[in-house]
Amino acid sequence: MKGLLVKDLCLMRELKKMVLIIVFVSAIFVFSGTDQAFLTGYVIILSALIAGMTLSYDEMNGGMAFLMTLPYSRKQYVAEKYLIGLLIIALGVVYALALAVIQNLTGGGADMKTTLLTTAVCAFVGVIMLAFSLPADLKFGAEKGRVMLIFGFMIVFFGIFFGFRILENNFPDQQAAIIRWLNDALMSRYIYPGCIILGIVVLGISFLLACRILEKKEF
Amino acid sequence: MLKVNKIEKNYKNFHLDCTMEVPAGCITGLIGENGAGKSTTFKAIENLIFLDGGSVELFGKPHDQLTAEEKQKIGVVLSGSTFSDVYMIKDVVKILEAVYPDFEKEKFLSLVERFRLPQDQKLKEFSTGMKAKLKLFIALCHNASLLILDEPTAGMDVVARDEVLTLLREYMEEDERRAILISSHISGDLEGLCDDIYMIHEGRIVLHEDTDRLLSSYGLLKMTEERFATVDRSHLLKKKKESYGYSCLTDEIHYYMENYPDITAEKGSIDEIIMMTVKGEAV
Repeated sequence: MKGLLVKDLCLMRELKKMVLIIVFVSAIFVFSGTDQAFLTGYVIILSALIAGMTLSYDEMNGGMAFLMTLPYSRKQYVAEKYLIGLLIIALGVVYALALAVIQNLTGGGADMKTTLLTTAVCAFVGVIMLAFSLPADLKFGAEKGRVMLIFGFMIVFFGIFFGFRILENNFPDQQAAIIRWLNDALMSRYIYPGCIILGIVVLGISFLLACRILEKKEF
Repeated sequence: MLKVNKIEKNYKNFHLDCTMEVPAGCITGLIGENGAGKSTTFKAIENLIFLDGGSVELFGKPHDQLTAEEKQKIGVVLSGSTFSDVYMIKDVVKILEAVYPDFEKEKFLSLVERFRLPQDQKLKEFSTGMKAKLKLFIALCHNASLLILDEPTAGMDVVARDEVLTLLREYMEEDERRAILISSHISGDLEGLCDDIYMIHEGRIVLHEDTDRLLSSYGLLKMTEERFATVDRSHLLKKKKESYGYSCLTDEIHYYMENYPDITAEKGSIDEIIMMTVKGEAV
């Protein structure tokens, strides 16, 4: 799998512009007093999208067919994509944490406990995005997959938003109970292990699905 | 080394039904017109498409059960597929070093230099011929035992094609247990290189012959209708109606030259043999 990792690491030169934009925009956010949760989410979610971008470079030049002739199994190819994706998200998390600490030190941020919680939840969302995007990218191609991911998240977002509005208008007690439960869940000591376990389960299912998709794909 | 046993692949308007073999020590050519099934056969061999029937064996094993070490022993050139356009040759070197334990870096770089491929330019700035050379160098430089080359000379000029064919001959001379399966739409490339040639048409192998015999014994006979009515047809493979009578493809040209001096006999080029095989009628 080393060769596949080297291949994707060589691509980072191409992603330099995107990384510089993330760094530049996030620097502005830090010093303009932007909400820390937004800043952390911005950095980590963009990091999660980069794994899908390496796949679109693989597809260039009809390259997937050639890559499938290298001495790796299709499962190894998929595993490498998850590995590089998690690696980039981890880098995003470290960078987001560093920004949050700077914000906290300059007096514009939150307390450390809230910072860690926000980062953990954003990292979890990033991992879920990775888990959804890789099978979709492999099935439909990286470009279509990314559009589908954005649509998917919009559907989920609007579904939750309108669901809450409906609950608020018709079942206010139940809505209040759900919000209380969510708040309790976020504040509970189970939030970190919960995120980790759920993340691993979703990633595992996603990995098996992605392997199945690639193993059935013709080039 | 490579056995293709009655492989079948069905598409909406195309059916592949192919059997062929590439023994160790041999360069085998696959020729046919565009859309005849050459690339589909190559993809089937490389397990890039799934078979509807038949089997492919590489090194005596089903092609979908090869280990990483066995896959490393295969060098591949695919028509229209290589590394992404954003890489430079220096990236390709890093990748190949990591992929193939037997990667011959010095040999690769000397070929890159000899064929004047720029190391610091992205592949998107390469011409079709330059990309074709790079694809072939990748296949040649990891000590593979078998090369599977689909249109490796596509887009190259005459001089480059000649140099590349010399490289392939040198590759075979280095180890007599090696083998090459190669396709090309330029039959001249294959005439001077291959030990035997398969001809594919509409997904089926229509001819398999040693290249020497193809060039020495196959030929075209031109005769009047009257002569065609009386000629011995036992060595005629195809016929085609012409203004003067018939042209026929034979695999025993000397027999007709000796016994029918009134028939015009011409040793055929591979292009002519393809044309007659594809367009001629059964005798």
